[in-house]
Amino acid sequence: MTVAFDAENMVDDAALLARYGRGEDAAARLLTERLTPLALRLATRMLGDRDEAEDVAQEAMLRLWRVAPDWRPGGAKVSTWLYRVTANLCSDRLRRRRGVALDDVPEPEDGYPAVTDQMMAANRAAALEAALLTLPERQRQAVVLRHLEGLANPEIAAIMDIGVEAVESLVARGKRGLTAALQGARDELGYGDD
Amino acid sequence: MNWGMAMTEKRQDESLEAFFAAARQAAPEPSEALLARVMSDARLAWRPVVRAEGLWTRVLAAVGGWGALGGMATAALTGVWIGYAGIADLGAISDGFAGGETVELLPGTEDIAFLDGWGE
Repeated sequence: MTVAFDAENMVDDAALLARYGRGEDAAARLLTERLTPLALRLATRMLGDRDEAEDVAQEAMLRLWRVAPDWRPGGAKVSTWLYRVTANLCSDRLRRRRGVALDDVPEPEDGYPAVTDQMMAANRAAALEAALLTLPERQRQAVVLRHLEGLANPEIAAIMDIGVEAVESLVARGKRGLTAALQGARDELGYGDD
Repeated sequence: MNWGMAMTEKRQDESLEAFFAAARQAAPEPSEALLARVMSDARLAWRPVVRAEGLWTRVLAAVGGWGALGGMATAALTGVWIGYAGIADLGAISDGFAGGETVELLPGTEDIAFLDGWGE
């Protein structure tokens, strides 16, 4: 029924989490439908691999189910918490991929070849996602949360556990990096007038 | 930030926004299989919320639960009844002591040597 559906959509995530804690299956279903896409979007953009992103999204949601009985109403937003858990899971995977500590990883000198290869047969969305993968991890995360997830800087700061000014700096540097990464193939893809 | 830099950033933002918009439109959606796995996890991971115990709950647990509490109430009421019902016989009991009859408090002690002359 439309009215009931709309009413359920008005319920906030924390209330649904409490209802899940009381054993309400419908609350779990609503949370699954609302929050799994969020985790999947961030993980896909961070990892650039759909299968791995699905695993991360599932793991992040599992952690949400486990934390439900201990969730304190009035604390962090559920979505903020989930973004943060997802970002941390992605960081773990990226670190394992590199096989070295995060701090030892140099920033990429030049992302053009990889970007250009992918842009040859890609549309703008794919081009952007390819360009995102050339950014250092923290810049990528900040840009995705700001410009693809549409979050405000204070929420991004809470997710990334840094100050708002640091978020602004990461986003600005990330956008400069994206512009540079995309520039090389713009004319080739016919975006010269953008 | 000078005017030139501001203009450069503005043009950069406008240029990137077309890409951001395209990427937002093409956002990955979870498959039915993924949603089913997440729901399955939700059911398997569910554990009931444990509420903080109040004083009354802890007192009840300390005495052994509702059954024990019922026994204690019965015992208390029985005591009250005995106390009330016994009042009528108190006079008779005290009359018995005051009437001069011999009450043998230590029966058989007359046979014990060291008690000889003890009551004199």
